[in-house]
Amino acid sequence: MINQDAVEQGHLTRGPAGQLRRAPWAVQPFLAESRLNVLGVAIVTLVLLLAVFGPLIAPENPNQINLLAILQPPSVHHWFGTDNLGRDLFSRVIAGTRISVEVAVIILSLSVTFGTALGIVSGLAGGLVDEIVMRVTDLFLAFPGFVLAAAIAATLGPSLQHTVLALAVVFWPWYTRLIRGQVLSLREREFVLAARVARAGTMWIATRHLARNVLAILVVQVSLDVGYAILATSSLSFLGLGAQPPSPEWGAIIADGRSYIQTAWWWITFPGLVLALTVLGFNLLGDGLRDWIDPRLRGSLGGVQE
Amino acid sequence: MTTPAPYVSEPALLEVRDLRVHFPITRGTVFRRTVGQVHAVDGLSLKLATAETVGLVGESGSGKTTLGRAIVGLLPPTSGTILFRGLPFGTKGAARGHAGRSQLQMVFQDPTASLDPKWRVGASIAEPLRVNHVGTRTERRERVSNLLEVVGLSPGHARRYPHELSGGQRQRVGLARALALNPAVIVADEAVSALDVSIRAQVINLLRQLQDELKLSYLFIAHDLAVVRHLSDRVAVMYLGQIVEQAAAADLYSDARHPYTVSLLSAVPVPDPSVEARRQRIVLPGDPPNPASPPPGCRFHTRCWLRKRLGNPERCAAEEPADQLVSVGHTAACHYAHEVPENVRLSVVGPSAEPAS
Amino acid sequence: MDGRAQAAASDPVLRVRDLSVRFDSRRNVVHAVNGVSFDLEVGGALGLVGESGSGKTVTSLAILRLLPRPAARIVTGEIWLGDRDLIRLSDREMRRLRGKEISLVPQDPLSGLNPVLTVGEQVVETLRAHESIRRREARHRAAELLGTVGIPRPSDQLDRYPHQFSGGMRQRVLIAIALALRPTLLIADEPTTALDVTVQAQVLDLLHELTAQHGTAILLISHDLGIMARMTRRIMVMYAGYVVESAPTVEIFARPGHPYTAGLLQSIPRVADAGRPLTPIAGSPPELDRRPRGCPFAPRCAWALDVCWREMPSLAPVGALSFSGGPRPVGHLLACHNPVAADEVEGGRPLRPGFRPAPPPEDGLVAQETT
Repeated sequence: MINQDAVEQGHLTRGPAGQLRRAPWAVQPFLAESRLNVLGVAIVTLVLLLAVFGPLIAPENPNQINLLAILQPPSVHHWFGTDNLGRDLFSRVIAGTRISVEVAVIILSLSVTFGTALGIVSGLAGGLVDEIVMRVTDLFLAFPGFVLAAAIAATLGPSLQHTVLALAVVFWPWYTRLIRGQVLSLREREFVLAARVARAGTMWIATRHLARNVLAILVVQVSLDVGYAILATSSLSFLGLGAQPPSPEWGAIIADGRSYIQTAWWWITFPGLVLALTVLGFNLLGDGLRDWIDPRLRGSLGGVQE
Repeated sequence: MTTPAPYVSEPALLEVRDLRVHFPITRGTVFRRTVGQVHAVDGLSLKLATAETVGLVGESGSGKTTLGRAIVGLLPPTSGTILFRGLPFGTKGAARGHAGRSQLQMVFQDPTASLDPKWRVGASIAEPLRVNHVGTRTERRERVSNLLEVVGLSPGHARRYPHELSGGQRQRVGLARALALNPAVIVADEAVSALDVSIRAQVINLLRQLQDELKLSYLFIAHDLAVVRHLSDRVAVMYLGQIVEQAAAADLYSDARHPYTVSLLSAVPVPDPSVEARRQRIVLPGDPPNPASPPPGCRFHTRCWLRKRLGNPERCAAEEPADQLVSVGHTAACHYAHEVPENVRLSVVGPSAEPAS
Repeated sequence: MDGRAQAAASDPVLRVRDLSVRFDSRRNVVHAVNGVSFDLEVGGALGLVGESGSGKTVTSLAILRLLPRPAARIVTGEIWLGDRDLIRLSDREMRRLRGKEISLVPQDPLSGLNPVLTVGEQVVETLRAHESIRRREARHRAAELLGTVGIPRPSDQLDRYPHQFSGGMRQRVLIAIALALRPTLLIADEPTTALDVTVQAQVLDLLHELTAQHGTAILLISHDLGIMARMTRRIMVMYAGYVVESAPTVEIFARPGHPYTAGLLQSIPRVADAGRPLTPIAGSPPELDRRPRGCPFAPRCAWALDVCWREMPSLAPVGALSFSGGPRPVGHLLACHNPVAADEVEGGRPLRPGFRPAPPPEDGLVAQETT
């Protein structure tokens, strides 16, 4: 019995042979759900485009020093003004977009892969292995994240790479906890039991069943965390522990402009706004995804069945 | 519990001997101590013949689900043996299951949870084949189409996802999956309980039809006595991890000898107002007990109406009852099985001569 | 059979007229309840029978004005409790009624009780919400109430938490709370589905006894016809949001008129009869967003006529319809173009020679409107 409205809404499509196929991502209904979703998607798309194509559209080389144009307020030539070395802040901010996105991708790739794998292992293995993993996770979680990252970065020496590593160390335990919880509840579900009755091994169950079923929650968590990763990186750079000059990373730009608040307000304001907007965009996207996933699991009547 | 009286004239396809499944109760996180055991299944023996259905009834804490899971290999037995075609399966510590184990399959209660929501239905049905490296891709696809037809769905359903099917259809898919490896025995754990009433009959009929065609044996686990009656050749009643009564279906329902069985039958609502008004009702006090601390002696004695009627004999609290032979193939584990009054036995499911007390 | 007072025909405690409830979501519109009308007399016992999609739970939620907002809307209808139309009442007025005049025993005792409050606190809370009595006295009454529902050593149990009780005990607590203020109407929605069969018998006995004692009218919702046979004096059968048959309990079982009712009776296994073949109802329960223009049961009906696909039959007294098997007494309502004759019930199909159920027309199924 085909769910006809699912076809109409595009959740199902017809393949070339006329057979029904599920659309990989029902984008349009997601956008229709709320204006905030549209905003989130718009911001994120813009950020990603800037990250990829930024250098092509930046008017100037972000590191180009021009001593004739120092501390210029925002104008037609310099949309965001210039800093104390005459560098165009707009170009620097765009270059910083690429850095931020790259950094976030690396941090999350590392922490999500490691954290998820560990969570699955821990959840499936149970017993002593689970205990040990959980206690180690607790240990890492006990430190305030930012403080831990700062400590690691400071110990290793200030640099963007070390910041990335430090943040990956801070992020992974959250994923382990999250995924382990999911695995614990999934492994008692009847479809997993059915796989075991069919003599499926642990690897089969982990990769074919569990991985796919935790994907939704992972996606939500990751989209929320991208914003935090970017913010944390910028904060560490602001403290001098992250990106070093002349890197146009947003936090570093803001740090440089700190002493010029009164004379050149545009120096810290624009990068700050862009940072805030970026984090907001990812947050909105993550929130929207979370709300989107949830009611779909519950059904269109919101739980009242009859 | 001693071994049951011999009944099955043909060699048993599946035999369970003195099975115990205990779960430890632990306290503490870093240093775990075992403070007790849950006696989920506690000394149970059962036989199942080819093309036979044995119904297993019981309430919460009876251990029927645990028994089902132990038989298909989801739970390791604490002691006792499970024999299939005369050969034992591994007990604790032995190597993981061998080819024989795939002959025992299971259908689960919740049709929604029993299928991976991210997998197409055809993939779920093919899973046992893939895991066991049976057939080529094409052969498997054909087999899946076959199985879908056998359970009354169309081959086109293979491309659907579970959420696109109704509850009854999902349960049929679960059944198709259970049939994939040509099992000899299917353990149906509350297979129809989660279905709408009007769909239940369809699935029950399907089960019966498949049994006739494929010579399947079923261990039909349920709490619904009426459904069990329809499918079963023999019925075993479980209480706190043990079988308290076993008989041919007709005998159990008309000639119940264990006081628990009698009260169970008495509690089942009958869809017939004139019967409901006139039947004898025996209501058990209290709740089904906790399998972590079973009562001493006969486990049922704390709630037993027969014991009360007989003036609370000591024997019930002191001595575990052995199986009493009531008639051919009918045993009941009660010291006083022969004392159950006839009018009570007959009137719990039908109108009695006297009005309800 | 019981000590219920004879109901005065002129004083129904609940009168529902033409109730329709609709659920709106971004994706579709679902007409969950369609034009339901019924009366429940003082001290009466009415059963609502149906499966998924029947609308029975939504009906009860509508009466209690507990429908989820804004998804659900009461589109039309009047619900008269005594001389008040519940639909017109404000939220505050409804709150005063709930617990005091109308009460609910929900299906799941686990979610019906607040896990962080002790059982005593919850009973006391109900009492003090509607009556101004002191805490000590409320506790005293709470202990009494727990005693009446058969909880042993009630004063000790007041300070325990719901999770410390078994399922049956929790349900008893819910019944105690529901009956604490002697409401005139009790709605019990699948009150025993989550319970073991022996515990179910206890709880049903308790409900039976207490409602008879206090003269409380009970609206019992269930899919289980066995419970209906025991607890009710009148049954309404619902399908896809419509009442398809309404009759005294004895009548429903003895002479069902609607093919769905007859089908249900034939398809349920019974403990007492061995070897009787089950005649299932073909097809699946209705999907709430698509149904025929006419009777929603038509796709599964062995008695279907052409008119059944086109036109929804209205609920009418059975004396007005023609069928074989003799006249039925007044009070048996049926919504069917082609009712089941007495001798056709067992076979599960009409016995008229050469009869074939009408096939669906070209535009058989329509989506419900998305106005």
